Amino acid sequence: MKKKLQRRELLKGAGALALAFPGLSSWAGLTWMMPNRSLQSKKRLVIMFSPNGMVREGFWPKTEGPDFEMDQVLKPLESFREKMLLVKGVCNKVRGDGDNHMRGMSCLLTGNELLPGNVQGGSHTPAGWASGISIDQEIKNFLQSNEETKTRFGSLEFGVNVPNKANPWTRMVYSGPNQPVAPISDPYRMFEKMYGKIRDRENLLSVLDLVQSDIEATKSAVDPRDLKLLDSHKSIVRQMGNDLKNNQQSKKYTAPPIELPKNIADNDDNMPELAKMQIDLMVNGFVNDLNRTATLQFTNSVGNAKMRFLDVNEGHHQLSHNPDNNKDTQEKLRRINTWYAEQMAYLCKKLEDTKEPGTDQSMLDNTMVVWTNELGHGNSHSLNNLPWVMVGGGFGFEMGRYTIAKNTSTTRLWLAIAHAMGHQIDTFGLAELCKDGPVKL
Amino acid sequence: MAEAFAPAFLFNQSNMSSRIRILFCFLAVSFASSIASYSASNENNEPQVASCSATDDNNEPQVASYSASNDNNEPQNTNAQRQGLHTESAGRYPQGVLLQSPVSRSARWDNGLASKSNPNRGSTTRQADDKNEIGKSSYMAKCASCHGAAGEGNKDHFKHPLKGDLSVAELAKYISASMPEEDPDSCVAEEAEAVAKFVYDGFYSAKAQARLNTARIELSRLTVRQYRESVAELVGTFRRDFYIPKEKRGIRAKYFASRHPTKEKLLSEQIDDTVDYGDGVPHFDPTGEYKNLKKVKKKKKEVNKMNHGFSVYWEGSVVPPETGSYEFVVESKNGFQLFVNNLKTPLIDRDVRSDEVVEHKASIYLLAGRPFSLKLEMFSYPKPPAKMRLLWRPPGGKRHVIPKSSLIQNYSPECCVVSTTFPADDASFGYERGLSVSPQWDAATTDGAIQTANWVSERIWDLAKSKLTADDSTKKVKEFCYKFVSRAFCKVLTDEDRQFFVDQHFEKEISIEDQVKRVVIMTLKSPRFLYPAIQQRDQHHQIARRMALCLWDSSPDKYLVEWAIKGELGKKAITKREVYRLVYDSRSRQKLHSFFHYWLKTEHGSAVSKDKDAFPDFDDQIVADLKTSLDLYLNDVIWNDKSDFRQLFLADYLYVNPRLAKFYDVDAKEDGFKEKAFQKVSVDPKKRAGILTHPYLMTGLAYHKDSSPIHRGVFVAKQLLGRRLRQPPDDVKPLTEKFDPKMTTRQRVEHQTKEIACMSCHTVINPLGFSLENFDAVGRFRTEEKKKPIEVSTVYNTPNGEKVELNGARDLAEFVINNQRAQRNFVSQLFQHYAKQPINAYGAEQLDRLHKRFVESDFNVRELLVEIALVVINYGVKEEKVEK
Repeated sequence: MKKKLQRRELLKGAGALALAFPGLSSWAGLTWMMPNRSLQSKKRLVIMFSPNGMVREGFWPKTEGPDFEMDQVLKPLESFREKMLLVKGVCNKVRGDGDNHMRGMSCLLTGNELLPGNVQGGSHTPAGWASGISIDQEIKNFLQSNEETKTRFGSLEFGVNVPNKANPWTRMVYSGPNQPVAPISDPYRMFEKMYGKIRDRENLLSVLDLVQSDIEATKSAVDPRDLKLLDSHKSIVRQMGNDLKNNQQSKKYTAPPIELPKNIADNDDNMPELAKMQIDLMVNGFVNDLNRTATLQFTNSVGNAKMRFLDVNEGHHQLSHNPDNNKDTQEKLRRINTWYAEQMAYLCKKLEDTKEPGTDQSMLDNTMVVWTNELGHGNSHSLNNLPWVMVGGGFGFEMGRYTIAKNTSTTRLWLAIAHAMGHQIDTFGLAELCKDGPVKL
Repeated sequence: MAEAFAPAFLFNQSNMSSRIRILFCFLAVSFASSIASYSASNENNEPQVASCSATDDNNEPQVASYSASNDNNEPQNTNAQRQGLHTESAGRYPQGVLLQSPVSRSARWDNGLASKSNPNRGSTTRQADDKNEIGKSSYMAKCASCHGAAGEGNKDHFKHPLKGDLSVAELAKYISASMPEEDPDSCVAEEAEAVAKFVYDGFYSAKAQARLNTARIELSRLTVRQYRESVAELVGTFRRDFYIPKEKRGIRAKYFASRHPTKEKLLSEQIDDTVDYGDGVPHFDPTGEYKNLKKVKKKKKEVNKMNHGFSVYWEGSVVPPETGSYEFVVESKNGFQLFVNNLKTPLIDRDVRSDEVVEHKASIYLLAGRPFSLKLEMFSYPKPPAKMRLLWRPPGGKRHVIPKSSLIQNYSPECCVVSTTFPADDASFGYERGLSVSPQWDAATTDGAIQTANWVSERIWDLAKSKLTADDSTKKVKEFCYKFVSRAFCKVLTDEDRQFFVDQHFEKEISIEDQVKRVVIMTLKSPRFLYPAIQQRDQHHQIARRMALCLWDSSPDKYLVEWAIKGELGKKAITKREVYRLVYDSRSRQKLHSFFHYWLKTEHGSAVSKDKDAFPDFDDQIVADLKTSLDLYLNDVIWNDKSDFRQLFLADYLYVNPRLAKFYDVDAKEDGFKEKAFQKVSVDPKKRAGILTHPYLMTGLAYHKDSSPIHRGVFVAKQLLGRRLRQPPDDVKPLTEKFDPKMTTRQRVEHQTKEIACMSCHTVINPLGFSLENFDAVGRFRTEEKKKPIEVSTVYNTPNGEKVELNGARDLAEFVINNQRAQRNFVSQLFQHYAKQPINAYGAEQLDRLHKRFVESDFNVRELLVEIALVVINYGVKEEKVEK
């Protein structure tokens, strides 16, 4: 049931709207209460995903510790060096059904095997959805269970150019076993989710006066005995307009909803604009405290976006299969991943520049941004040595360095992050992968 | 007009002696409230009277409203008392037949009369008449204190307005015998006659009522159905046309020996009647056989080589029988995707399957009579034999496999469906009409407008045939908007229109989607769209708008739009040809279908349930089958060559499937049933007669266990014969079997209604109901009850005191079809269902004229529809000179 509702939220068109606006009262009464609470305890988690593995050259530093080199790919994050923790050796150790891309994606945040299913990947056995909750949802549930940390949504799932297909390659967030959560890839739709049908109300309000004058204009053509009907119609329209105006004035946000650029189509060429819109929305949502956890998913596992804006004309996944000695490919993959690092940098910069409402603190200090990938290395489909970049307030992690935690299960990383977020769980995902507890970095 | 009363009066007087028995029945009640009888003389063989009665039916509202108001969720009727004999019923519609809210009815009556202060308006126009003066002064002196100066009634004494169906003679007799109540002897003989005449002419008769309540075409907004249909059609003009073949039903199916479809792995391409494979879908069994594959394209050897996976694609459209929310249910463990209407976004997405759940469901709002694309893709795993069933639960119905009759083999253009819940339209006049607006209605139309705006803006590039990146994208989108507004209002836009409805939004710094949305919202909220008659337009557009509204309840389709733009719709020949085109279209069939269910009170019939002990085999499936059976029958009669109204009552056949054949013991040929479908079988004409005895009606007009002669009698009297019946008393419970286990149903009814107070109506009701006593509570033919033979012979008294001997259903059927009042009632009801306005608003002679044409056409219903449409379309429109 829960799954269905989530799907419905995304369903374009009629049904959903009818559900949302059953009658006049709903037009007049859409206000959201902003709970007052102490600001000190805010902790946020953002998990950013990019696909198809990471280049070895140009990403991993040679030197462990605080003086690590920031090569081509990480260069955009240079200014966050002090607030960064780069980890090598993180491995997705979940096995079972499904190919590596599927497991890489659907087991990345869940740490759980895929259920037996009907989806046949490139190799291995067919499989279905993941059999457990993802870490962002686990932490969200924890935060939502406490009045102090409860927010309107708890979590928001952003996507950028995620194809409109529901399968284990496109879903990394799960609200429970067999319950994938679809990211919202259209910023306009995300805006609607966050701020309701503001646009619809604005559009409606913009025409109500005109409708009244239209009614007035048609009066001359009707039988005088019918004027009463039109008059009462007109006064009903006027009343609706008044209700809407009153309602708009009563709404208050810490920060007004941002203005999104108009008419940006959802395609690969617009990826930079779309990414920026989504990140802007995400930070705007944080300011208004709509949620404490968020995911930002670029395309999907095996994502084949053609990033022509980087002068790369081949699809990303297609490129990632080429051998490491193909210099042209390596260069292009570095360019692609550099762009992803830039997106993370944009997010971090935006957080850094945004004050925590009511304080002088930077929002970045209360946020942990984690960037990772479904594979360690593209052409080998390795689930080992996933790129793992953390930037933010630290929450107890010692930041500002590069560390190697050889052969460490993702689950132990998630466990450590959960603890850092205040959620003291013993295991996450498969228990046997958490034997040694949260990783100590 | 007034002159015509004289012969009627004389005639009635001459027959007075034969009416004493009837009159007696009225003694205990006020004549005014006994609307069970009427003065119209259709059943009267006097020719000169027939002409005078011609307009009696014009004043139809009261007749129809009595039966209609409770079936519609009118707010004012929801508090109607529902108790006693007149409410306890097995099916849902008998309630509507018998019960009417006292509040709404008397309120309407008060409206009708209280405001009219001059009872003499009609009669004073002619030469002063002594008798009339006597009648007037006598009435004022002796009657008005209780009945009001204009017969409007008086709260303290007699609250019901004086109006009804008695003839002058009957009124006179009654007044003479019993009025005034405190001193009946004070007004007798000639004085009573004078009073009767005054009352009759002044306000009592239907004709007087019609005159007092001069009907006009009132400004009406779109009804709910018209709103949804108009939006669907409006947006539909930007899409290709849809097509519903008359015969070819079922759904296209392609079976592949691979997970993804490729030509090389296509095993069979066939038509499936339904998707109902509880024991596994057709497939190639690698160990040997083609299981249920009908049109095999590959040899076994070939298949054996490639047997990797499998997939099945069912493609076509569903044609929903009712408008409302349908719950689609897919029963399968396999991966699948179900698409309905929208072929891009699945309604149910099981592309990934990682559990063992078998049942999957989702709801979607659909419009009756329009096709909606349906695609069901099913694929491994598990491998075959894999179960797959596709079912639905129609609004208010039971879940069942989507039947062959609702499936067609081609895709259809995506339809824009407004699914908003609207407050119900006022149907208290016997047909839905939009005479009032409320904040709820306004909010609902606003939702509808926004839904449509979103729908359109999401598809704007398809609709405008452009794309965002095109250089002329704004121009194209604007052009689309102009067309949209022009079609919504059905007019040629002026420059001011363009500026007001379109251009001004494009001058704002908002996204192109928002610009489009504002145009759509403003257009659909405009009175020009919501009140189709408000817009002044050239005659061609006027004809297009009226034609589509009358015949389809929608806005003009793309062909009508084209004709209107060409300026050719005003030509008689083209108008007529287009009327015929629209009449034969599926959208018109849908409207006619809804009329029949409305007229026959079978709109909500699926909720019928019966005593399980008495009728163990009577289940929901039988009820659903009966409805199908009735629909097939109605279709058969109306859409065959003759379209003969009389055949509705005379036909000696039934449509049955094997289940119905067995239950109703109908002699059907075993091999006549193809794939569980229905066949037409002959029945004994002595036993059954068309819709009158159709088990679906008989079942609905019956109690849980027993038949109900009263429900049936009221139905025949009101719906078929067009008689008026007064409101039943409250708190009368039907006598049950326990009262006297030896009594038959007929005997119990006779016993309970023998009181004089009851007989005023039950002299009409009972004989009609008893004629149908051969049909038990589930509509099976019977010859005895409680070991006593069924007694159907009876005498029906016409309003003018004629006695008609009836001996069972066929006699009754013959009586109905030959009865002018019944014919006129049908014409009038059909007209008002189509026009949504009272028939006399189109001229006092309109019913006469249409009835005459109806008779001349051998009671051709389709031709009648054409005539009705032409009346509505041409009303007040000047004919264009025909070019030679």
